[in-house]
Amino acid sequence: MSKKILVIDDEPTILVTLRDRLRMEGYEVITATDGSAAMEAAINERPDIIIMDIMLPDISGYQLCKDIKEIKEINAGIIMMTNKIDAVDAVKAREHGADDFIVTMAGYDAVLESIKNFI
Amino acid sequence: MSGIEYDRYWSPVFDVLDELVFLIDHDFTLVKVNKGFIRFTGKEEKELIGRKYFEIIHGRDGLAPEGMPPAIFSPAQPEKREIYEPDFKKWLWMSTTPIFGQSDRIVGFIYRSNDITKHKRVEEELKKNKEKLEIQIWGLNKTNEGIKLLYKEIEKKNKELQGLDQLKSDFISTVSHELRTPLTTMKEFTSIILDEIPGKLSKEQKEYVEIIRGNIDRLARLINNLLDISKIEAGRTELKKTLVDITNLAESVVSTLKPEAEGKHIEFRTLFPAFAIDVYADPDKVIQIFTNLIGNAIKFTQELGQITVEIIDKGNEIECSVADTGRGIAPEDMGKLFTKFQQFGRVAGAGAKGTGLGLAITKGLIQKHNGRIWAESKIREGSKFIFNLPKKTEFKFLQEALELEVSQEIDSEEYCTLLIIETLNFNSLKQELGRNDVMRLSSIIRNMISVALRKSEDALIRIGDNKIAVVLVTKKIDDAAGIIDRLRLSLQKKLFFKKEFESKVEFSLGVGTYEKEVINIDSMIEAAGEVYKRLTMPIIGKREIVVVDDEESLLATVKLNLEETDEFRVYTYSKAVEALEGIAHIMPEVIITDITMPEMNGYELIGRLYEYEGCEYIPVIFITGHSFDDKELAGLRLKKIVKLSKPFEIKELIDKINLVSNRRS
Repeated sequence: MSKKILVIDDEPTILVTLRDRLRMEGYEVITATDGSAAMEAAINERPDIIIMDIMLPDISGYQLCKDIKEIKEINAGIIMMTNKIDAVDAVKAREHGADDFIVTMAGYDAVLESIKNFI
Repeated sequence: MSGIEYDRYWSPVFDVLDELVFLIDHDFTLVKVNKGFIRFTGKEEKELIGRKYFEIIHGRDGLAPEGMPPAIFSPAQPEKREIYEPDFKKWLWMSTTPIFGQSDRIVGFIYRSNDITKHKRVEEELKKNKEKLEIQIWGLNKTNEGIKLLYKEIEKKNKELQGLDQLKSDFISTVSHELRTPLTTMKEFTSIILDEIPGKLSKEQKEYVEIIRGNIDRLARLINNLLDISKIEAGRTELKKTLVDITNLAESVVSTLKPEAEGKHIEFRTLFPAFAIDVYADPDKVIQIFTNLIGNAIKFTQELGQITVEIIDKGNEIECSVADTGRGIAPEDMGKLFTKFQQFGRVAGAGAKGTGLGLAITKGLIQKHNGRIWAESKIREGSKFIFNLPKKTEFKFLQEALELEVSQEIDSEEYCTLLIIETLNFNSLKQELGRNDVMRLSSIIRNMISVALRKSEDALIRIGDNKIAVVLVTKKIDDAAGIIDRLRLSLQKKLFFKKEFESKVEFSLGVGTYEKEVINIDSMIEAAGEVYKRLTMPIIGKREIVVVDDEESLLATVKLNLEETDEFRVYTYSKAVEALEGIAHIMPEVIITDITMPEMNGYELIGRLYEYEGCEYIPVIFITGHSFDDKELAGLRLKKIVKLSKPFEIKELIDKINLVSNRRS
């Protein structure tokens, strides 16, 4: 049974790139481009893993992470991504309950690696 | 509770403790409490005794001791736990010990308790901090991983760039060869055709072939420009920096381009400082820069305009500018001026069309010299292109040159001698004698010094208009002394082309010798600074004369008689060929030569002297027993030729020597 992954990012190119790469690896992928759509998808689809950018148009990624973690039924591993390198972001992500934190400046290979760790 | 005589012992033992102590009986009623307990609960003894203990303390759920049936207690192990008392907002550490009565039945419990609130708070604090730290560490680790990934990316990109760079270099070499070869062939053949070797050309044909040739030249120029700009961008332009007189270079470009300007009736104006300004730069590149800027000025200025070339010495940099009264540059074009392939408008009139790369190349070259270039312009009024180049201080230049020379020569058992020769009154000389003469003087002095040295082994470094540093590397400490003597004598001669100079020029010679083991560049340079400051060393010696004659007896007589006066030192040569070398080294005050000699005669000897720079000014006395060939003499172009017929008297000879010499007697 393949794992279900929810990808949340407001940048269409990133969303599509990541989605296609994950599908190539054999994962089932659903996408969302903002916080409310993401929350809906998380509740309805119950993904195993959620990958989200720290910046979203309607809500901060950190807040979304915290909210999702509070809903025990969802029970997904949350990977937060950012295109900057700043330890402060990583710390904040952890404080809000993120399970992993990936810097995407050098590409998305690291994201894929991280997903494997959840399996 | 019977049989337990605790009353007598209770107070003295338990009231001194800070701990809370209380006794309960088998149904949890408080039987006895200590002062500590009273203090903690804030209640009086009579309020406490008789109450159930869990109403007072441990009151959260009002139940029996948490989950511990009394039966489980063993005499040996008291139960211990930490309990939060919400009513008192304190933490207690509590130890409960059963009291066994007859037949091992529990008749009561004794409770001991410590207020561990502070302790608990510290614990909480630590735990919180630990958690915070763990999150920080986690965050840092994740960031670290991100950085590692980025690093790998950078390495990858780097490799790609290196590959591209290699590609570019290969491209440049290919272009260099492949494009130029057919171009050369084309040029050759057009030349052959224009020379009418295969056959005569009609006027039209000639015209057309000339057009073709012009375009071949244009293509060649474009290729060169492209290669230039590629090389500059790839950082492969090698600058051959040396001390150059920038005023000189600017002037040479102006004179080259003057005819072109005159064709358009454009007037040139040059504002150069009176004397040379030395800049550490590549002379060819500087010429290229001026040629481009002045060429542009000519191109973009209409008839009857004016071009001003100015050089200003600003202390630690020099500022050069080329200003024209031409079309000017529109404000919107100013930003793109120095970019590649920009051409601004069609040029009115004839003139080679540009490649659009000139300014880009010029900028690149200036930047390679650590300078800056910029432009000011007003439409229809004219433009001014200004660039500056940093000047190196004399001393800094010496430092660098020393480092280069000394490090190349040195190996372990040698001595290193540093000489600094300075023309002391150079500045006043400049004022007095005028620029051209003074420059020539500089050049002669340099040659005098270089002749005294051992040719290639010694380094002569020109540090400025009036200072020259010499580095000698010798095997023995004495070896340098010989060279220095020669040098000193040479300078003392002061053979300059104008007699008046000799009395006016003063030298200072500073010397320092260092043992190689001890030497390091820094100390040498420091010493150079010291030598710099040393005072004039007196340069005195005998007047040196060279006599050339195939008659040995004459040589002997002249030498004897002249040296007897104690004023002269005479060098004699019986062969003109040997005399040549000798004169070049000695640089005598006067040459006395016979005319008729086998192998090479006197006229030839003096004629040959012109090959040795500095020697052409040495006065000559021709002696002969026969007649003089005035035509030959005239052909020698000597300013001072004095004839003396043999036989002569020593007094006559000395008179002639004094007459002809540049040195005032």
